[in-house]
Amino acid sequence: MLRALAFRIAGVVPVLFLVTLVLFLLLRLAPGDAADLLVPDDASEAEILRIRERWGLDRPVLEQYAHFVQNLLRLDLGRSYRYGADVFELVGSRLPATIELATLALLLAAAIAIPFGIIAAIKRGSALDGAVSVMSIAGVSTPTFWLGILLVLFFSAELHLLPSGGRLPYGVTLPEVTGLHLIDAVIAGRFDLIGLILSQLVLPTATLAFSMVGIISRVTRGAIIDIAQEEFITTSVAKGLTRGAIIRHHLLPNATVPITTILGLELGVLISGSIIVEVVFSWPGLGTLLYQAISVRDIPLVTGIVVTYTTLFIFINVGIDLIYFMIDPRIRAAEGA
Amino acid sequence: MNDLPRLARVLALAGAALCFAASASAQDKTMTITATEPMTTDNPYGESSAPVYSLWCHTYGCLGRYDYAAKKPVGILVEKWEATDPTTWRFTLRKGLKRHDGGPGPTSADVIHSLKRIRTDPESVQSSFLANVEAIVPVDDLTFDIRTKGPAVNLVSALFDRFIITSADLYEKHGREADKKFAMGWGPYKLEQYQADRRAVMRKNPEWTEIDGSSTKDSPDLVILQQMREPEQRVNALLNGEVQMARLVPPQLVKRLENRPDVKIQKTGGIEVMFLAFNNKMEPWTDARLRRAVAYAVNRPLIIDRLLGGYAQIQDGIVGPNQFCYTGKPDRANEYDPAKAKALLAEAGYANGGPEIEFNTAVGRYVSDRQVAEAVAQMLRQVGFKVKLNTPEYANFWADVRRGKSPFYYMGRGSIFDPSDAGGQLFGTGGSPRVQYSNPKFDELLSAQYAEADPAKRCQLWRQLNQTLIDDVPSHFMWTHTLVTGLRANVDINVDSSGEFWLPSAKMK
Repeated sequence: MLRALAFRIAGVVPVLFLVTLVLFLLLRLAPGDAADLLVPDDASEAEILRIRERWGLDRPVLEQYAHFVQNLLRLDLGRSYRYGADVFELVGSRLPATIELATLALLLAAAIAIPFGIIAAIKRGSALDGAVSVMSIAGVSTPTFWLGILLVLFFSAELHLLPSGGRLPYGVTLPEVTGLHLIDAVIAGRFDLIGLILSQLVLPTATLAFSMVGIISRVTRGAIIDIAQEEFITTSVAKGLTRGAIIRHHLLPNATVPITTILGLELGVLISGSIIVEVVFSWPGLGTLLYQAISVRDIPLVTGIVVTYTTLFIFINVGIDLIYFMIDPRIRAAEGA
Repeated sequence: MNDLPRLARVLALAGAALCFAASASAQDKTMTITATEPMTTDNPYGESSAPVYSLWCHTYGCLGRYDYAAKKPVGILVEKWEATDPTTWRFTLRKGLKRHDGGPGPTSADVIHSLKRIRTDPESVQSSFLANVEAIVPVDDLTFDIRTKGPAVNLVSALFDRFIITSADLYEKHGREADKKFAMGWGPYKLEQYQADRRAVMRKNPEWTEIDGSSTKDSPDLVILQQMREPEQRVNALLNGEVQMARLVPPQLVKRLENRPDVKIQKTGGIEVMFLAFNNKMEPWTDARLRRAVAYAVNRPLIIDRLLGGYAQIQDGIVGPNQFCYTGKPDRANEYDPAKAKALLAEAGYANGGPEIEFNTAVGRYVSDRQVAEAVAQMLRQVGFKVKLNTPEYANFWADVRRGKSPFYYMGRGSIFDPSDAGGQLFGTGGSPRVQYSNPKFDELLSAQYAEADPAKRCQLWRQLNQTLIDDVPSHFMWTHTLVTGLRANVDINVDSSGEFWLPSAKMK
């Protein structure tokens, strides 16, 4: 197992190299020049040239790439054209907001979708199963930006119950340890802030979670139905085990592997795919940063963010492998063999 | 069912949290304003947009501002200015100002330092508005001369609102860290916090007095510029009481703010000129008849009425009702007349349809830009043009425009108040490759107006310049958008034509 994990982690290096290479070439070769977008409308050609020189955009592409790789080997992704700040620092300052949002959205989605999936599988063909199917289709097909706007309209503009966006309001201070506000509030003993933090999180979390409930509940339902058709389940029924016992001891443990797989994949999708929700809710995470970076062809920043997404995605997959190892004795046995 | 009371408790808790924030705001007389443009750096010279200039003008201070309501420039850090000869302006700084940390008031050395930073700071992107400045020469501590490369009667309007003055002393001691840890200037507000992409917070400077002595006691104590780039969120935040001022409300959302007791709407004629630009050196736009045909084919009032909700004002030429030197309607304008458009096409050899043209527009950059471009394309097809509408991503669109590779496009030029510099850059010979228009008469008049110190005579020159642009149609001017601002009922603030405002004159009840 350890060898497999080490192999996976070692695989990060070539993957990152390929990702950065492709990204670099795509961004450098795409039409549109960062220098044009960094200066105001009335900037002279001399001003644009100065900006191009400053960022090395006037050099041949191969030279730019060599410089880029040289920096990358020193784990230096350079400075953002737009923010004028170190890319790693920028990414580091925004990452916790995205992780907090994505993790909570995944937990919320799992808390709703897994029980619904189980019930839909057990009551297969019933009205409840139909309702779960409808909800799944709605979740998958509803555009997140539309849902987000609708939720804000209802809960903020009409009911005045929740804030329309942002993270912590001005004037609320919270010592940052992890950057995850809920955890930081607990560490600092600021339990008075938890309601406020949750109020900021509710709408973006619900928006992100809604789109995942459908997928997770469908996978859960499918996994339970598949396992229910296995011979050992028939044997359990023949032995006279109660339905609850069969679900707890045989169905659920065996369905955990596909459910874990989909949760892991969805977490990766959430972290890298929350751009629209972050923009709609002015959530100061990696998504809003990427949106900003792409709009001005901020190549170092776009590269830094994509590298971060890729790394996270790989480590999430490694995490999933570890969970498989812990929950599935067959995998442990195979590894041991 | 048991979950319902729990849900209610959570929502009530969240509501209480909001009330907490709101009550704190009420005690402080806090005004939260939505920021719609990127806020990416605390370097006061690192961004160039009207909202960013306004932020730094309120905190560090700038030479002065243009009072659009009174139609005159007003000093902020300077109290006097005059042209001493055609290429020299003399400015006198205000006495008695103190820096936010109690340090000395602004001096000529600070002004010179600021010019140097704008021109040499690697992060600066602001040097273009100082392009005509040759040097700043100190006369004494409070007086300095600005020498220009050529006659520049428009210098005051070019510098005011934009020339941010920062402390030479603090920069010398701390370098770039001065912007982060010692962001202290002389403006009416002191910068309290700057978080890129999130917010900038300013607190009222108790030492500040308006140059005309008017009271600032009702102005907000604390101002939060909260970044909200999505119009929906701005409107919802206003309705929810999270912000007191929602800027740039698009036409389709205005109705949600109407007829409500808790909010009000302010409408201001803008100065961002929208136009259909031709590359006058690319075929078929070298033929003035075809450019004129486009102008006659486009029904501007209809588009304003149906697509822009009435929130725009027709603009004939570069000088419209909201610009400096507007002297009334032009003698001739290119009004909608499809019969004339067809006749011109026939005269140019396209009686049986054509020519084939490519029409480019940005999407999501200007109000309803895609819809406007689709309507324009359809109107052009109706008179006989064979139009291919392209909607490239903005970076590609802008790169082509800037390099003179876009033959025909719809776009806006922001903040044209005094039209001299924009007019020269867009329509002067060699000004830029964007339009590629060249007319010696236009160039001559443009140079003459730069040197004309008498405002009335200068405005007459602009009347001629404007008529030349209408007659030659190097671009067809469309409109300026009406800027709609949503305000909470307890707030009084004047948003000017640039979309900005002067906080010391704002009132919060």
